[in-house]
Amino acid sequence: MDRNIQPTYNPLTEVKIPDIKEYTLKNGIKVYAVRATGAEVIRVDVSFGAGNWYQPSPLIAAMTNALMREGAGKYNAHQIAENIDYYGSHLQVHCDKDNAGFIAYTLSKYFENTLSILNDIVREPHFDSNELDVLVMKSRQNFKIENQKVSVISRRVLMKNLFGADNPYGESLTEEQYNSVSLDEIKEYFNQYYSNKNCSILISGFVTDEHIKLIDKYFGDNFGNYNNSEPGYILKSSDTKFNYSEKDGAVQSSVRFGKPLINLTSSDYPKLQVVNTLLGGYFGSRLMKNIREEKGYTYGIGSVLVSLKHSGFFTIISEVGADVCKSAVEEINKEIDILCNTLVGQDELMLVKNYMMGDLARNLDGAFNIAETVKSVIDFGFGAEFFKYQQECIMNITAEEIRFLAQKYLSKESMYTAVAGRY
Amino acid sequence: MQKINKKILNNGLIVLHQYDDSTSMVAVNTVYDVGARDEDPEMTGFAHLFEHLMFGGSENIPSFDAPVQQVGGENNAFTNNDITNYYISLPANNIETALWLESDRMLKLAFTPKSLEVQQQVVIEEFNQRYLNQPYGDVWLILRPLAYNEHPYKWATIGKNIEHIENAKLSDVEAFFYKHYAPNNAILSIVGNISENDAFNLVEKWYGDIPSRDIAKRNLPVEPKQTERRFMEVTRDVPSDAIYMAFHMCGRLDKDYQSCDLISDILSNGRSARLPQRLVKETQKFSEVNAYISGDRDPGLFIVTGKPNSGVELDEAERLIMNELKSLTTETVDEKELLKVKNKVESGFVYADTSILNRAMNFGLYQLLGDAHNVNHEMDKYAAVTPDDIKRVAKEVFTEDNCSVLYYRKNS
Repeated sequence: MDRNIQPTYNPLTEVKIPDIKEYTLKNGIKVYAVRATGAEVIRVDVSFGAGNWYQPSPLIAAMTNALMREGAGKYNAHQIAENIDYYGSHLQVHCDKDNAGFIAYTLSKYFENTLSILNDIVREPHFDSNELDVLVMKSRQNFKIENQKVSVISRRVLMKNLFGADNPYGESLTEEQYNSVSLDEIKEYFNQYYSNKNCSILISGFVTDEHIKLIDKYFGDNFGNYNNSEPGYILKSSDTKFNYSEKDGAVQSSVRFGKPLINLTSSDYPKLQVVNTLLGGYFGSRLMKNIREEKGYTYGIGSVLVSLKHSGFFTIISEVGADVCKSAVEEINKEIDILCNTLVGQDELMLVKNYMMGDLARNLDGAFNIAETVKSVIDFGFGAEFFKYQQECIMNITAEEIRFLAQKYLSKESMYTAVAGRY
Repeated sequence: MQKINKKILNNGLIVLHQYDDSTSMVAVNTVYDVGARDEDPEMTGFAHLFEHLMFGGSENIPSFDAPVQQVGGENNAFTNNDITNYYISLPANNIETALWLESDRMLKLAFTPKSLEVQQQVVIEEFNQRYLNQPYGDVWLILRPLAYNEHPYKWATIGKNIEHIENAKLSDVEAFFYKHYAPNNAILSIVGNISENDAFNLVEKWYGDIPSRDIAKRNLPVEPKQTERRFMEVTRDVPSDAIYMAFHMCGRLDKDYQSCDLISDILSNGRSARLPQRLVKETQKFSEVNAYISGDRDPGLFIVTGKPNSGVELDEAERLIMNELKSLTTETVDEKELLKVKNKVESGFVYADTSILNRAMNFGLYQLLGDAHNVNHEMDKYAAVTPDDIKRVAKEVFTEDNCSVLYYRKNS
């Protein structure tokens, strides 16, 4: 044995595609199931096309979503919380730019108890005005705290520049908006968007046929008055490429780069993910190596591709020492230039490919991980076959393609930059 | 019931293994019995800084991360007041790369000036990011030295102040390594798709020849019993006032540990818990309020924090919280409420066990506390807690004399 030499290893050349069963309830809701043996736990994800994009005014989507569990059907808010806790279940509400819904984790033995509560929440929320007051008060408080963070300030500015201020992708909240959340708008929003015609369910874990039948029992009827109306926003990027928001006394500045970009529906997307990984998508990325491991400017830096239903974007995120902020921005620009102009070496390319295949294997290992990974593709109309295409893209991409894609999608000239703190 | 295989190498390294063929991956976890509590009071933050340096290359291998990524793996580490924990998850058939890397840095770290210099900068930025540049970020830098006079829990893992990190010398790094990093001060756990035989053989191959080292017996100052309420207030640029209350409680191995944990659950685990229900929803005096235990090996802290709504003064906030805590000392909690929090603990264990990495970490932790197999008895300890235990322990913990209070005021 020679400690100087890495033991032989087998690069992953193929990751097993998960088996996703698909069912259709009598009302048309698609149910996706990822079954596993082992721990007797189930995760249920009930999702609606009811995210911010569709809201008539700011905050409505998130408030509707969060208020639904504060009293529904035969239970008041306290009883819902009490029952969920008693069964040892967890119920998360979630609302993002496009989707909103609920994720419940439950022991299999309490599946029906949990599902029955979830059913009340989705079908018969009370929308009590006192509960709304408490929710608004808590959310406003949280908003004020978040708003002090340089990373939140820079995100707000960047998103506005990428998409424009007058639509839910680009708009930023103000504290005043918390004062005018209308219960009527919430009720109306609920009626329109929380409907079987706008819903999908993803169940994973220790799932049996019995559980699928129970889903049909509780979610199989028609509900809501969905009329499939699209707000029809026009997304428009700003002419200003650089923004600086000063925050007195900041010891670090938040630096964000970004631009609107293709989403998962583009056949370039999985290839662009390789380009992104190389640049800033893993611990050994070029940005991490340069800005953290060489220069010590930051605790962390990363880049990510975000796929939205009506668009997508790329972003680089870091918090850097205020005194070195200018240098950090320069170095990031340098790395983007190198990516666009220089062919990646074979060693680095192999490393990124191997890392990404391992990462995919981790994401597709275990029912709950699979469910989360699958969710990100079914929302865009794909099934498990997407992961096959993704693997082909990772395995086959060349240095030339990477440079070509970097030039096409990530040129320095097309980037927006937002700095918050001191510059 | 977790089936765990255990082996102790001649050099003292304890190896734990569990076979799981439902996955194609394996988790390799290494916990060293060293944390911030083992630091020199004049060199705080060192255990954590050292954790960063563990990725700067070892005796025979220039880079730690790249080979892990090369075989499709991912790795990271964390330090707290008690332990330093390193982990790798990777495709099971490439496990040898993980053992090669972990064993080489256990054998001997490369002590390079460049690595020290850069990681000092990185840790200073971590300090800035987490503790100084966030609203309420410096709370623990203030609260720990208020609650502890003697015990090294009085400083945060990141360190007392940035100077301690800036002043670290390469000779300190080397000394720290030989003092704390050794096979006989570590536990290696392997969970995933690899047989017991293969796992133990490979571990013997890569770790068998690492010499054991003299590890000084830990002899930490004992925190004297607190005899009167401690109080401090600070004013910061934050959007609302906040209150922090810290009570001394027992250590991780004490018979009352589980009771303390359940008390914190009764108070604030889940949306139906007492503090959010009564103080946020019913009386609307707070926008948020939380209770939790620090979970430390040595006697730790029971912490209650809250942000009162505008119009509620901090002394009133303190009274309101204290009333809720006191009610646990005067009224006996009913069986159903206690069962609810026990159910939550039980399901929490089941959820956590779905991850091989969680299991590997947990086995290491329980072994460090005495025996990995005790993971199988932890729930029994929670189940055995009675309403009278809750009342008795609450009485011991929730007294004014045992409390350190911090008023964190917004500047107007």
